[in-house]
Amino acid sequence: MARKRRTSQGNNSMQTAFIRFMLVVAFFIFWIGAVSVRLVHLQVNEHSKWKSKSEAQSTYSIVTKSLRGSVYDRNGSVLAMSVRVKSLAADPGLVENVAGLSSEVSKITGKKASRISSQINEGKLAGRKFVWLARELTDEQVEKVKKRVFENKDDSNGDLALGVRWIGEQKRDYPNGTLAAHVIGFSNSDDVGQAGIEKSQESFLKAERLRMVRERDREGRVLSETAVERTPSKDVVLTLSKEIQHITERALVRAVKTTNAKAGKAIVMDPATGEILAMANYPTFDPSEFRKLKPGVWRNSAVQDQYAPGSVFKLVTYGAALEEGKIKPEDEIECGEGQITVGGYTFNDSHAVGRVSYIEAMAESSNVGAIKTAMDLGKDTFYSYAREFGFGKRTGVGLPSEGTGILRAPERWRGTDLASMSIGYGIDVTALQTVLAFATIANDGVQVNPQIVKEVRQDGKLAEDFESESRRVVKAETARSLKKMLKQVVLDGTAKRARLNGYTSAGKTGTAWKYDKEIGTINRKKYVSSFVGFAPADDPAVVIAIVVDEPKGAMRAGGQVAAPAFKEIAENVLPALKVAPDGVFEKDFPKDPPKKEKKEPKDSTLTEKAKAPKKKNKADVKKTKKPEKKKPKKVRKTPKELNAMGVERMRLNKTTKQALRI
Amino acid sequence: MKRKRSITNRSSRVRRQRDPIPWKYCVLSLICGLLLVAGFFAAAQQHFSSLGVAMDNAKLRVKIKQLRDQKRKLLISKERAASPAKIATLARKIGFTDTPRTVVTGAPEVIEAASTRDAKPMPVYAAANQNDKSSNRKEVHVKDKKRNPGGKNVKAGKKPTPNGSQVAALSGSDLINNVRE
Repeated sequence: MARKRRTSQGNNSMQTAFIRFMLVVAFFIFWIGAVSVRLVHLQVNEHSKWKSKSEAQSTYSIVTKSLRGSVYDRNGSVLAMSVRVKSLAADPGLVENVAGLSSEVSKITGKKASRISSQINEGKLAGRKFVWLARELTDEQVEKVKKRVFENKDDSNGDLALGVRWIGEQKRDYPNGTLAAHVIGFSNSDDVGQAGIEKSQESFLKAERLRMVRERDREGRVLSETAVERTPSKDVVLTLSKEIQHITERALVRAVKTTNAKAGKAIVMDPATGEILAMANYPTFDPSEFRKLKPGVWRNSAVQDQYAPGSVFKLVTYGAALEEGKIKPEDEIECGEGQITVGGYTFNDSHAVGRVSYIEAMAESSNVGAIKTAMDLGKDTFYSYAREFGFGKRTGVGLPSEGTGILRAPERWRGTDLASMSIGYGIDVTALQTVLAFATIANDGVQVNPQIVKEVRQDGKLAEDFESESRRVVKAETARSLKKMLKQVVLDGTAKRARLNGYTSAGKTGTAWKYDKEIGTINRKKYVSSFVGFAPADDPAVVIAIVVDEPKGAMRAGGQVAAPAFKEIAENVLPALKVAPDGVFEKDFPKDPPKKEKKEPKDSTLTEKAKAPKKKNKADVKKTKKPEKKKPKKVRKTPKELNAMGVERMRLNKTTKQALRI
Repeated sequence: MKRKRSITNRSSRVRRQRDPIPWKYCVLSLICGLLLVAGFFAAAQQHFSSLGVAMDNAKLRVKIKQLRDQKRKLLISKERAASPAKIATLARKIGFTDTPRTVVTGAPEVIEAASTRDAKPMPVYAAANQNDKSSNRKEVHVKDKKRNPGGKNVKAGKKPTPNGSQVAALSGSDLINNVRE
């Protein structure tokens, strides 16, 4: 009985324990349930509220600039590229060891310590919060600053790093220095393009605003980074070839220095595609040093400046006449004694050529022949062909501030304007326009718009491709006839110095008096000498224009000043383009017939002397024979000699002078 | 007598069937608790490992940025060293002359070169994106020169164009090779 009672009591206690346990469990279930309900409420009902609160505490955004786009040449060589650099700045109010800091920064950067300390002290006095100590430091300099300023605790005069901080910047680098400087241009310290491609392609190149959102933990360590606003800058690939550009610049510099000229410009173009392979100007500049440049030095004269083309423009005159069927190359024209009177004014040839074929008239650059041809055409036809060849309007090459040239409408022409324009006066052109006109002939009468931007790339992938449009200007037959005439200019005309070694070539010389602002009219002592040609003559691979501004000394004619530069460029560029030789080699050149010798300068020694480079480098000196003494005065005093040397002289009437004043 | 038995006595005699200890429930609760705790631990571990990965990622991002900057600097250094003007200056320094290359001296080579075509070197921007197979840089096609017979708005075709190695092979690289020798 007692046993039974004990069992009953044990059962009761177990029951009590069970009930208690279940109560605890129930409590926990209730507690967890309550927490769960609360969590659901927070995460579902109040989700957005707490999420925004959390984000505000754990994330922050930074705004930076992406790197400015790069500029490449057609082979992928870098012409301009931006890199991140560090600059050192200080809060003057916080700097306590001015002397020590100035001394260390001076030792590292080479700046004067006194200048740095005065900057800081002036900043202190003016209550400024920011002064630059050193900008765009190299990696070595950054390491030195870290070591000597930020980690140097030995200075007894106070902490050097106090108030000093790094500022990240980007620096534009032009690794090729002056090469193609006028085409590439430069960007200012705010990374905004100011000239050249840097300016015209600003929309692609510009460094975009970049907003990054970073998530951090409570200790400030970055956990994730997301770009919110990001439009990366694009890279621009040019049609220029670095090597051809170098060849062109070298030849141009030689031409300008040899003739003591004021300036020069040269363009090399592929006539079939319209791609500009090289565009050079001299004097040139280094885009990295843009802060030191004088205003206007960066002006790309090859596309911005306009000049009277002179006889080069006879291409349009004869081209229009051939296209209209007025003449054939073999037809003859009476140039008489080398004089023609139009509207009461007389135009002269450099020498009388008599009755000659149009081929010879072009080769001898007869003004009379060109004027007669233009008069036969009429002013409206002449004007329309000049426009068709691309004069008086922009070519759309893609460079900033391109000049249109000056080509007045026929309604505004006066008595002698047609005659003047037919020989390249009373009209202004850019070097690019003349190249384009000759490229049209080289390309069998089809004009392909010139282009300098080949494509735009983003992150290495093609983003935009540019292709030139083309249109027919003259019939292929006309172009072939013109080629024939232009070939004769080189073979037996005013441009014998453009005869190439191993290749055939064709082209036209131009020598024009310059308009002088100071005297308000043309200055007969100032010339613009040019040569525009292409090679090989029958299947041209390149069209080259050389324009030399104000050559001084004995050599002034385009055939003497610019043609040798053409020769140098073509002879170097054609093998580089793997164009097989199609002409006669120099050793096999036919000797000039005696009757032609009179057209060469009487004093050929003088010409050779002036041709020799002015001892710029050893290589040039080695290459050329030792020049004899110059006698430039003698040459200058005799205009007849100048004529004999091929200088195309003419008398200008009032109308032409007025036109030149525009 | 039997009828006088108290109610209590009578009920105490009833034998009720009860479980001795609710082990079943205890174990079940314990398992649930352990699972819950294990879940919390797993979640915490995931959380902290993701934080660790994020921090490593951030460091790598900084490193990539630094390496890209370094690459750009090296590229510029390379371009500066290989600029034609620099090569010409160095060549002159060691005694090479500036004689323009003409077809007279190397006519056979040029003719030979004109008939053979070197492989185009990979441009820098392409080399920088080698992994990107979708890079669709246009190939240069050799076409007949007289492909523009005329007509308005004819698309200009591409022509064999010079490339770096070809040009260098005939100008700068000759010098470089000579210098090396």
